[in-house]
Amino acid sequence: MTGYLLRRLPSALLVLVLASFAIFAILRLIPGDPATTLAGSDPSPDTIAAIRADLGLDRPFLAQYFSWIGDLLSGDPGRSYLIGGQITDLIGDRFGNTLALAIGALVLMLVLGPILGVLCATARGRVPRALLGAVNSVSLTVPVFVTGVLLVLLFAVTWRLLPPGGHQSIVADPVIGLQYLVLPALCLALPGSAVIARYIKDGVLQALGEDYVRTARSLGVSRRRILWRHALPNALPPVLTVLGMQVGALLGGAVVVEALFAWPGLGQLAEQGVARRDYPVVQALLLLLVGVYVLVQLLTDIAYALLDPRVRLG
Amino acid sequence: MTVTIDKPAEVRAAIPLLAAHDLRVVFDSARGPVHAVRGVDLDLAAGEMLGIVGESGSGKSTTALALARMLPPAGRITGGSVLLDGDTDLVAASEAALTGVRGRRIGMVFQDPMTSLNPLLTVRRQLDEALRAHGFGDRGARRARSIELLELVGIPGARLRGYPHQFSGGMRQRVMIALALANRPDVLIADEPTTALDPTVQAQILELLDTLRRELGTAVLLITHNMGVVAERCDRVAVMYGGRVVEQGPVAEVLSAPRHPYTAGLLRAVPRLDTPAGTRLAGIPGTPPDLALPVLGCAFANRCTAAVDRCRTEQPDLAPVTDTARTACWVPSTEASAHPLEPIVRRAPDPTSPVLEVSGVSKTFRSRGRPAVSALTDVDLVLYPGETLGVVGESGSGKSTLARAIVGIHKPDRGVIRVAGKGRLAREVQMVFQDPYASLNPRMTVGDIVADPLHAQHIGTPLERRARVLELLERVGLDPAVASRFPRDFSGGQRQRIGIARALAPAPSVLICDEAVSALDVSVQAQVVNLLAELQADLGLALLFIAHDLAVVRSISHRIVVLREGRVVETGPADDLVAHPQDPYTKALLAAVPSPVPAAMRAAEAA
Repeated sequence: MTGYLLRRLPSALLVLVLASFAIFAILRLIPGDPATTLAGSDPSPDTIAAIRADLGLDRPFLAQYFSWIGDLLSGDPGRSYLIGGQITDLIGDRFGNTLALAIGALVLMLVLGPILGVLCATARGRVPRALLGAVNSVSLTVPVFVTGVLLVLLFAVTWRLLPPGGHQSIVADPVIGLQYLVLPALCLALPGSAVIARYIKDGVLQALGEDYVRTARSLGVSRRRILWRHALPNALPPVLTVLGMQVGALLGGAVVVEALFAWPGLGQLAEQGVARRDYPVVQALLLLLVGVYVLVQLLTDIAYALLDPRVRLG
Repeated sequence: MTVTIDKPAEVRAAIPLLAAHDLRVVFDSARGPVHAVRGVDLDLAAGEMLGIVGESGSGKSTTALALARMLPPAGRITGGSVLLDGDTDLVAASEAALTGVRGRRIGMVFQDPMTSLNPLLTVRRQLDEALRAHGFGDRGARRARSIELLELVGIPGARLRGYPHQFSGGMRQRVMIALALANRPDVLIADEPTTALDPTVQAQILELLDTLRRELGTAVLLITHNMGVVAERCDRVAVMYGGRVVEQGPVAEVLSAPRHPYTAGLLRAVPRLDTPAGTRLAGIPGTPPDLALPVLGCAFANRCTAAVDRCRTEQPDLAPVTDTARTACWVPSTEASAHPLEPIVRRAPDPTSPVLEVSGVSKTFRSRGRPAVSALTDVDLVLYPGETLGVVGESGSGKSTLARAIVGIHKPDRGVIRVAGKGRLAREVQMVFQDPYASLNPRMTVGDIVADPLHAQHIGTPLERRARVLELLERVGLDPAVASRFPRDFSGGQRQRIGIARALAPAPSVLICDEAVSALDVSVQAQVVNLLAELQADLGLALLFIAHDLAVVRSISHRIVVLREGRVVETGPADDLVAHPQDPYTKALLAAVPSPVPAAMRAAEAA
């Protein structure tokens, strides 16, 4: 396993390097720059030029890139131009909140996806099957900002069960914290759950047709046990790949959900950073996102090995 | 199920353990209902081994599954009964009752040991689950029983913690048998349990089943297409055709004096190891009935040479022909019909200059983290124009690697492969593959498939290619009009003819047949083997005929090469090699081939 991870290291590093360059370049392709924002309303060209020089934005593109990378390698992602403060502090303050949201969403995804998937695979009769299919399609296709609003309308406005937005620390008060977490996490988890459900359904259906399931039936193993012990585990490996990709989508979705539910996380920070062209903040956040994604992919491969003895033992 | 206890012993003895009566199964398909089993009567007594033989589509596997109500979702039992102990009708039983019967009263062993075990669970877990399903003892007792079961089937108990992929095919089948026997069932249904295995492993597994039957008294229902297996292992045999049992009786009687023309034809079509090289195999002309269409009269009538008018209008039922045997035929033959051996018209190979020379070829496969595998080591062989060289050996012997090296798919590490003739290797050497279903692209028409090598090698104009395709289809015995149809419309034998036409398209000098007839039923296999022999005689082709069935190889080959673990262990003229094998491995291979002649009859022949 260690050897395997070591072999994967160069390609992971390469992804990070390429991504850092792409992030850096793309940000500078967006119209407008931080100097214009900083200069306030109706600035003179000289003011803007002065600010640009002050921020180092007048230097050649590659020189800017390498000084950013150099600082990063020495552990300093820099200061925010506009929000103010060290980026490490900005991220540090919000990281926990987004982590809580992401973990909450992931847990919901891992619970809802398989349940929905197995139900879809085993549903008998036209009506239940059509209903489950509809639930799945709706979760998959309706965008997060629509489901978010609907969830708030239902749970916060109509039924008054949960707060419509905001954030309370889970560590300080788990009960209150969870009440604030449920809606945004659910909203974030729905599309991914639908994707997972889809793969679980196909995988379970395929596994139920496999020879080893026939063997288990011939031995008098109960239907329920066949489903949960034979079919579902064999349906999981492809789901893992999808799950890895869904984690990426989760982080992207967090930007919208955090804005929607006033959740003070990295997504909110990213949104502010982009709106104000705060290059260092956005660069750091995007690179962090890529890093998390690369890590998740590695974890996916490890999970594969844990699930399947043929991968583990060769 | 407790009712039987009240009955006196003599009544119980007369009641068969498992009896199917007028069993009918229908499968839903896109083409409408397929009547796969059309009224089957079978009975199985305690401790006996009953063989069910028949070709693909005869309904033998479906019958086996239906007995334990194990049909896939598309299939359903539409009539008849399956009585266990004479009083429990499994066709009417509840799903819960069936779960109690499966594994506990009826165990099953399936064909493919590679896919029949759950790859994610250890052998121990799977055995444990089987035992737990019927409430066998506590954890410790189940563990002890699991070790006992493994040892019963000849696997060291220490391997309990292994995963299926860590076992060979034969070992997996042993595990499968251990699972099936876990709860000491009275009946074991084994559906082609050795078909996916090498002959020597097949012999071991059959021996194991036989021993277990004797020691545990388990009744065995053995489904097979192999007449040799029936002859050597079974007490009684039921022959199935078109979803019905057409003949049933003691093995010695049915195999030596078949009453039904289909049984007789099947026996003639089976290649026998003692048949000299160059003998024409007797196929059964025609194809099995399409069970999606209504069958009028006897299903075999349109392939039967003895058929009379009544056969085409009225379905015969199983009726006694002797004290012990029954047959479903309006015109059963009354005496054993010996059939004369008919030689194939063959040209003698031209031994002046070889068309293919393989010298000192070695190939090793390496992959990370695993020991290197020497697939071929210093292999030498020559092939002359018009000659058939048979290549035999078990799985892993390097047969397919050799074929692939010759056509250029694998580059040998050492050694030379020389092909005579002006053309490039890719044109001079063509291949016919094993699986007639997987080796034809389902989205291409037959015409495009056959023309494919012509396209690939830029031979001819579109018009010339078209003419060539039609000529080739006719050559392999197909109607040229089929060129515009798709592979799905054809049976396995017809598909293999298409594969042969494709291989012949660029007019090669060497044809490599890699297990090209192994997947076919015997009656069809004979047709294809005869076609290959005819093509060779007409076109002067050199054939490299790779197969694991020694009898088929002998019948078609001039010379035979025996491969073992990538090395040539013996080579010689076909008849000599089979009659007087020198190498111990060749002897073992030959000894493992079950003969389709019952032992009693063999003794009579020898006398």
